[in-house]
Amino acid sequence: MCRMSQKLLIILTIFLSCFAIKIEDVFSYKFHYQFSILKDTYDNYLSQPFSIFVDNQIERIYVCDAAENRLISYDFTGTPLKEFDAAGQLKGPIFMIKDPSGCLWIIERSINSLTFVDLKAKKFQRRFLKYKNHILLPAKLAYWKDYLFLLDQMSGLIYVIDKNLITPNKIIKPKKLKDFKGFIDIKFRKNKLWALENGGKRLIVFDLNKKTEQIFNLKGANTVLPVSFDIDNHNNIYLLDRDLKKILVFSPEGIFRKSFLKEGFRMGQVLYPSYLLISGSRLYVVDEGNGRIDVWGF
Amino acid sequence: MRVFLLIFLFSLFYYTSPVISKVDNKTCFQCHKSKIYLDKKYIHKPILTKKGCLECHFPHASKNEKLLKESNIKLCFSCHKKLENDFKKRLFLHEPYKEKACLRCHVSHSSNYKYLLKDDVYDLCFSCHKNLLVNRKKFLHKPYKEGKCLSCHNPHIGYDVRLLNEVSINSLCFSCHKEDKKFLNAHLGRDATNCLECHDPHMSNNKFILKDFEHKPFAEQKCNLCHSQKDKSTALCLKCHQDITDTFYYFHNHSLGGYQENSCLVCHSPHVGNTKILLKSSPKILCISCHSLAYKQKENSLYVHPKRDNCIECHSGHGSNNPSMLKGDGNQVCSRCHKTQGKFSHPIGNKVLDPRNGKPITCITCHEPMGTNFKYELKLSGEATLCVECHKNY
Repeated sequence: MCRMSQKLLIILTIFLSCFAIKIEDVFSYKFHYQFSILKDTYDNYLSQPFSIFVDNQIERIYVCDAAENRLISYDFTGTPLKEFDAAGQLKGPIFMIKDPSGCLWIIERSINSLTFVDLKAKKFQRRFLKYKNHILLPAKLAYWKDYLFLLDQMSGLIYVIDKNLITPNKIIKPKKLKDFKGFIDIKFRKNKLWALENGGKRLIVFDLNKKTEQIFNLKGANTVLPVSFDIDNHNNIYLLDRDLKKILVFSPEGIFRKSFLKEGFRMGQVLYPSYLLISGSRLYVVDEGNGRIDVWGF
Repeated sequence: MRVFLLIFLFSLFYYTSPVISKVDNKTCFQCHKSKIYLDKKYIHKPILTKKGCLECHFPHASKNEKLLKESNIKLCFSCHKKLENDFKKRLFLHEPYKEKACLRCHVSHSSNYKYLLKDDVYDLCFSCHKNLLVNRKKFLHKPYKEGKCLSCHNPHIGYDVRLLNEVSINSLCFSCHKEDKKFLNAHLGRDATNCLECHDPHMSNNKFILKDFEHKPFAEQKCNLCHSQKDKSTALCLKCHQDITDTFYYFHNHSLGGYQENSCLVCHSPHVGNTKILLKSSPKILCISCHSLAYKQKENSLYVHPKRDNCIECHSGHGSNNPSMLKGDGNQVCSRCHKTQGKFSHPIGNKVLDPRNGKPITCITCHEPMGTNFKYELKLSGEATLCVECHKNY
């Protein structure tokens, strides 16, 4: 009888541990600090990195170092490769993306330009955007099916730009959302446009194929100044709060699970985090205050 | 008839000196003169209960002053449960309440003033808030004039630093002021949005206690200049204030698109204000309505920068390339006032790098003007902890 119950206990333990592993797998937000990207090609420290773009195909990381008016590329080990400042023309790049043809779209904040760069054709073209005579203040970009999606900081709305048409021709905003406060960050994930509302209380997902939208209310955490977000493979939501100096993790249903990161000067700590990106099995935190990009991995 | 007379006399005696008849504090009052505790208009409830003095005091010995059963605030909270809950939950607390100094405003036994206040509300409030007594202006708000501070303010908690009685300012105003024809005529038929945007709640030199500085079109009564425009967005303001557009072309800026149709109105009033830049409130109130952590930090710090409440002294209101929208880098912004330190101090500048992150050392590498628990607003103790962060060998 005693042996029987011992066996049962062992079976139960195995079953429970399998279940625990399964849960862990679903909420696999256990990122660990790996290394930091902090120097340029001349072995000098970065000045004021603002955002990054990761090209998984060619394994490149591109960093916008706004105060030094330059973009720097790195390989996946964090080794600096090349710097680009358009022969001294680039002014305060705060955000960039690379389209499938390899061309760059850069937001030059100091002159409020959306700048197109074709490195192969040596083309450098600035666009000062307006929509119905309103000046747009580009803050973030996303690319999908030959369209550029631009987050305008002046209105908090997303503008769609056909890259050949040059001018914005459509606005994306939630159809029926009470007290909508505008967006602070946008990203294309899983063929859908995800947008974080100012204040970080709601995440709106636009399915542009089906023309539907879904709203996630992020509950259980008091955010102060969320500036960026991303989604992992399990649809967990990661929210970067600049004032709290933390990443808040929410379940796919929008329930707060945990938070990590800590204020400080040392590697893995942040002072003024400005951007968050999850790509592959890595999580990148751009820290403007410490002038580096902390890379976290599973 | 005699019986009625007796009942009348008894009840007269009973109600005029109820305390003596109800309270069984005789033993205490043999030494402690009852007059001191009982002869005033308002008497603290525990004295009137069966237990009397022993509700709060031990008769023989106590570790607390005045043989109190508990330390001051704990004792008060043992009955005043709501205040205890508010104390734990609320962010904005009146200073004496926050410091657990109930007896700064209240007396513990009896008082001639309601809520066992030490003094008349007018004298009590203005004994600390002296700034409201100087530079009195021509037109005064009635409750302020009469010293009825508690008509609008809560003496313990609030929804912001003003500690107002209501969340909505307008519902507070309309608890006295009626939204009638006269009101609507004065406001061109429009509903009030936020009374305190235009009216000063205490005093002004203008009729209707309107704030002192006027937006030019408002002063010239050219309402249509703004109100006839179809486009009410930020572009409306930027039509005239074109030079302001460039102030948003910084890495960090307050272009708060989406918060309101016209994001300028998040901070500025389109009609009147207390300063030239027509801010809706003082930075102390306006800024922390969003940056609540800054307020928390101040409240939890022993040392804060003396000009901390005027945020725009160091921070740019519209935009800056520096983190926290500082008006300069960590040295420039401080050395505007601290001139000596700007020239002679711990080595600073682009050639002196912080070993922890490789960034140039500035004043704010070691100091945190927003508030810390260390002298000179140092980030860590200046005795050693702060220095060894970099100087490992020491």
